[in-house]
Amino acid sequence: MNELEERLRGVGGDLQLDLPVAVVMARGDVLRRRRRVLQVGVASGAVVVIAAMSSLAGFGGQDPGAGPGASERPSVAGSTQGGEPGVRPLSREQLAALEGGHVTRSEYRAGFSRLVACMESRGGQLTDVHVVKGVFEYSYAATPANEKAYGYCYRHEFEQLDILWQLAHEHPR
Amino acid sequence: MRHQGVNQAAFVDFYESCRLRCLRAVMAHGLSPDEAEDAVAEAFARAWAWWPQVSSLQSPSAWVVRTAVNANVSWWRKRRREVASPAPALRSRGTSEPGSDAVLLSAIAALPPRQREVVVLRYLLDLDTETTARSMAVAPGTVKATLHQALAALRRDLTRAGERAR
Repeated sequence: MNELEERLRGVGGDLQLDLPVAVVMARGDVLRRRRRVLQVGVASGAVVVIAAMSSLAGFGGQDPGAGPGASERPSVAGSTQGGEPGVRPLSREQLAALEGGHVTRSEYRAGFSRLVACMESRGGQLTDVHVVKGVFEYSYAATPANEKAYGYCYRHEFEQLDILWQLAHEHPR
Repeated sequence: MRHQGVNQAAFVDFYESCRLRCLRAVMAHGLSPDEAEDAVAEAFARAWAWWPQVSSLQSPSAWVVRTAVNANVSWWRKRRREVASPAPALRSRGTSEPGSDAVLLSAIAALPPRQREVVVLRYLLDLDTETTARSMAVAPGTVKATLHQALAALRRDLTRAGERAR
């Protein structure tokens, strides 16, 4: 192995990430509960979903007896999806596409198109867009406008679709 | 309530063994240390939320890195602000000297996306060629060729950086 390859294997060797796994798992539990509410809500109608999501905003993630890390569980106040006060967490189109828990290729592509349109409507822009085995890959310049637009649009139009699609199309072991 | 029937110990092992590799891989995509920490934390949280599916993937660590780079990380930023006296969870030398890790990470971040991805998967996540090829949905020969181009580009960039510093 040459010097550059050795450096690459060791780069960042002095980095530390001290975040306790319990905190990460507590956050994951909140996300999983939110997904479950979402799925149930979609089956019962979007109005129910919105009500459930709204109730989650004040849920706080406090769940006594949730196992390791329950005492460390951070508040989710302010973590409602959407990132902007008064804006519905997920778009109507994304909610409809999530129905049944299965995302089709056309739903995934439509979601990405909405993400692009949403970005542009808010003064942002995705770049380097390409598709690898059916999965969109892209980036955006680190400008305040892009970051603000992406922070809202990814969650509003595409996040849940993106996760479900990628999980269904990664290579199984 | 935790996942029913989910192997919690397996996730803890995954997190403990992969978090630093994932962190440096995310930093190699151009995120600052704070941004990378937030993004990796959120991606691992999602990995736990979807652990039955994520754990069955060819490379869960590659999924974490991709998710971290794509994800919005505002939740962790908000949490950071809510903590009264946050201990710095990540520390790095972070110098800009030619031989420093910061310069090397910047050089990786400046590579074209495919070259950057192959460097991240092969060296920073320490995946073998076959697994890297499957993760990128390309042939193993393409991984080797792309890696060759990436290393040549990195050598050029690092040499220039060294010359500029003199």
